[in-house]
Amino acid sequence: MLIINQRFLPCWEESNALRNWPGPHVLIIYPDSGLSRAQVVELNRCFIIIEYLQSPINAAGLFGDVLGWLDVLQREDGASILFIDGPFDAGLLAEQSERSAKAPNAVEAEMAKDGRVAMLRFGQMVATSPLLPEFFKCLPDPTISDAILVELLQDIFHWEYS
Amino acid sequence: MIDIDLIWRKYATTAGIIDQRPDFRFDPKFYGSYHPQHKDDIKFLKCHYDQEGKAGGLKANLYDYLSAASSDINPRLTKLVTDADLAAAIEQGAPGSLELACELIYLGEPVDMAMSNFSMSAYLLAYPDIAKAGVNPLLHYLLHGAAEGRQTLADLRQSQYAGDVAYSPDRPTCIIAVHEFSRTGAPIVGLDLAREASQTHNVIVVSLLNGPLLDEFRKHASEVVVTNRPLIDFTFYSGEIFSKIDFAITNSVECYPMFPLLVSKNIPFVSYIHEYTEYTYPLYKTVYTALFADMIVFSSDHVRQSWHGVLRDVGFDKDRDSTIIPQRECVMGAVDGPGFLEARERLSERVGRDLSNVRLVCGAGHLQWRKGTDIFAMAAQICAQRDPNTVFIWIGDGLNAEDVNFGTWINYHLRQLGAGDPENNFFLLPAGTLYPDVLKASDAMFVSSRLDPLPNVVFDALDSGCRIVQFANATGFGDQRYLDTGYFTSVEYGNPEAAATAILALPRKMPTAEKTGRVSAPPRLFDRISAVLDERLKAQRYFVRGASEIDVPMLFSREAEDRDLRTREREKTIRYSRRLLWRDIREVREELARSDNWIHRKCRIAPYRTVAQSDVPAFSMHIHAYYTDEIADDLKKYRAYHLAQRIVVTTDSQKKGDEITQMMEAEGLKAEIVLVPNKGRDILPFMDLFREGGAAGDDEIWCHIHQKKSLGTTDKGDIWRRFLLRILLGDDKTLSGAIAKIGDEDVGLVAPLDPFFIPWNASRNLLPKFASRLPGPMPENPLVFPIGNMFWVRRPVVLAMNAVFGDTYSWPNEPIANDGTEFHLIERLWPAMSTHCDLNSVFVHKLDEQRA
Repeated sequence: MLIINQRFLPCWEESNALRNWPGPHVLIIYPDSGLSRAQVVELNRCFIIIEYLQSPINAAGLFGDVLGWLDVLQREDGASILFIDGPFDAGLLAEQSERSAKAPNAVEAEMAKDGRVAMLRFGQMVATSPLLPEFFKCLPDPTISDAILVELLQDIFHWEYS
Repeated sequence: MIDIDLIWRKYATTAGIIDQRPDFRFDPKFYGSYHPQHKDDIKFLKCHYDQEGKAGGLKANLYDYLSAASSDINPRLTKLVTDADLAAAIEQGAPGSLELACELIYLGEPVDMAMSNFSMSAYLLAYPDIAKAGVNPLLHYLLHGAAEGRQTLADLRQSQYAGDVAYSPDRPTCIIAVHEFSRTGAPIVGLDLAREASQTHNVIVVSLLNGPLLDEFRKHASEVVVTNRPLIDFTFYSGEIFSKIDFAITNSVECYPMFPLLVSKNIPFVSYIHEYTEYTYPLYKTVYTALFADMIVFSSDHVRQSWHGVLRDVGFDKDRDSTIIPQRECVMGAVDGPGFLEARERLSERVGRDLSNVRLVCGAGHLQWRKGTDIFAMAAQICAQRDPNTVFIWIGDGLNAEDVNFGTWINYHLRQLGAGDPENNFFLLPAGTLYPDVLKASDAMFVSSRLDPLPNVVFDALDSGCRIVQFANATGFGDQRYLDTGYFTSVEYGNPEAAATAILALPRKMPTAEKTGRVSAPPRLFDRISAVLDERLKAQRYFVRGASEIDVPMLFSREAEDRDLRTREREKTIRYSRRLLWRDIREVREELARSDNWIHRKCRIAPYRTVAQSDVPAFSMHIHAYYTDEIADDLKKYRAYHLAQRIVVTTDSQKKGDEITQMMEAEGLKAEIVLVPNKGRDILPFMDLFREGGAAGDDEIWCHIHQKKSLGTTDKGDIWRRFLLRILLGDDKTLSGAIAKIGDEDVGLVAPLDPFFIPWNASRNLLPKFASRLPGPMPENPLVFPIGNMFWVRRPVVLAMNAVFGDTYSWPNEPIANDGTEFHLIERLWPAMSTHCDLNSVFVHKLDEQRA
């Protein structure tokens, strides 16, 4: 599953960027998107859309929604999850796909300067775990920062053979 | 001896206060009220209590305070405790055990309801007077409430019954909801669902009403609850099963009280629908089902067709979000020869007539108009003339001669035709053990129902090899899948003669040589319904999160504490593109722009504003005042009345007219009273003013308002009326821009924009009748119109409306229905008339004005 947001849209058609990440493509739309209803309907033909009428306060809220609503779809897809906040090209997806294949049990993140998650990847073993949606449902403090969320995810889900 | 400190540590840890309060015997929060300036200094407070407070008579905790106030506290606390260890400690007289009980309950959620039958929040929910007074609920209950007989969780938990099937955390959990536990069609289907579901799922059965099927349901569930307010009560039921519910099936449209719970907790659900909309009132039951069910499964296509209008009106995608699954498979069975003869023998003995060689026709069900028991009797009368060897038996209860709606008349009818006389051909049997014999012995079943979704008795009759005669367009068995089997004969609707002819033409039943058992396969209803829901949820490609601009309650209340729940209900409807409310003003504009209907091309949206008196054109006002009690108040509240060049008031008696005149005079206004009959609600009196010689004269601009109680009988109605008047008129100091807007030469109609998206509803049925009189085709949805029938209008627009109906139209007399009359249609036609006059209709929005 690939989760992207409206900031990707300007480079969508030119780059054909999504071909390197098969499976469901989820487009997050924020209140400042400027998209008309007709445009949203049009985009919905290509993407599963999650439209926020108020911005989610953090990544925990966003992933809680995505994995809550798309839980069954994600498990049936059986592949890794990649979230990218912003524009990207096909090359980046190819690179992520490669890394994902090598680390199916990893949770890897890149943080932006403002402390928000810029990229988050759940390897296949983590992404298909039935515990992942439960994790977001049971978060005792849904207002946690993105950095702490990543730490928690890595603590709980990231494992290695010893 | 039980260590009560251990009990405290367990619950205090759960509550997250063990560090601040290691010992229940001292409550720093309670003691802090003596020393507000040190309320956060736990060490100081404890020290103060030990050194001075205790000796000075200050109380260490709530129990200390309460036990000093009343000696009844201890027995009341004893009754509340449910924690087994604590209850044992109390029974053993362990020192401090009652104090512990009190202090634990006083911790509130989640501790209170986990260890006792008292919940602080449930008590306040149940008794808003106590919440309003700001009284501590535990204190109130122990000192007063118990003596007053106020309820606790113990009463609520009496509606929770343990089921026979053990809960398993490894299984998914589902709710099967039925409206009652009676032995009638829908609850029996619900029982089948629960039986099947319990093989693979944890099952919570919810019923809105108790009844004789309770014990049957308990056999196939882990928990059974009977509640008509599930949203509240589910918070307080005990058991892990209630903590994670995966989905629900609400079986019957009558289960709509489940929706607030399901929507609030994001529990996806299927509504399994057996009811026709024609007899499902109030309308909101069907509307809410269409709005909030993730999927609607209908038992037959004929039932779904009946829902067509409701589904269209809320934008429900019928192909995507509904399907047909009958509650049983249709299989023609047979009866063995001996079984057939024995059944006939037993029936002969029972009715006193030899039935061994007759053509036997059965009917089954509760005696009522809907089942057409009267038509069944008429068919029997017709057959008696044509073939004396044909006998009719109706098996069912409900004959009550004191029921003047039906029982009186069918009772008399049956007496006249000699029902039950062995010389006659009609017999009535009570429901019960003879039912299998009736089906085995009958050659055919005549389904005389006027509307009957998919009655189980027909499946039973088919199992017993009976052929079926029914009316076309009367039951779900009119679906092609049944007609194709060759077992069904459909005849003209409501025609007993046609039914009799068809019955007499049927072949007689041919019993088989060998005994046969039940032929139909056991239903796999639950599997099919849950699979349909799964597929639907998986296919969803659009989700929305957050509060849309227009915040008006649907399932929940308008109170601030329900704000998140209101957001949740809107999220769900927007997700599925269903609509009872507009999402925002942008959506209204976009919908109007998208519509290709001629009416909408001249509909405009404008924000509310106030204007100066100099901006206001000359205008007249019409008030229809069937009720007069709010007029005096209105005259004070709205300055606009004082600027009208004329105020014409229609009412239905001189007495009311005099009263209104006095009220007007008290405000320095002059009313022109026109007496009219109570006919045509508020709108016909207004339209009549514009007929030849009418009081409207040549005045061009009119405001039409009314005092009808349909808007004002409830709190909600008062709010709605204020909403309309505020937008149309302004207030006691200001003038609404709506008045200036109607002064624009290109504007023919100005009305408030309603946040509700109100469709044609029952008025849709009248559209064909008026199609040729209207200037153009009507839109699929009216989108905007003066909901509530108060507006500003120009004279030509009213004349155009009068022209549609002409001078001799036969208007219906009062009393009339709440929807679907000509007057409800007129409400929706004003924009059409305005466009027809080449004038714009302007709808003014004011989102900060409460609408509901």
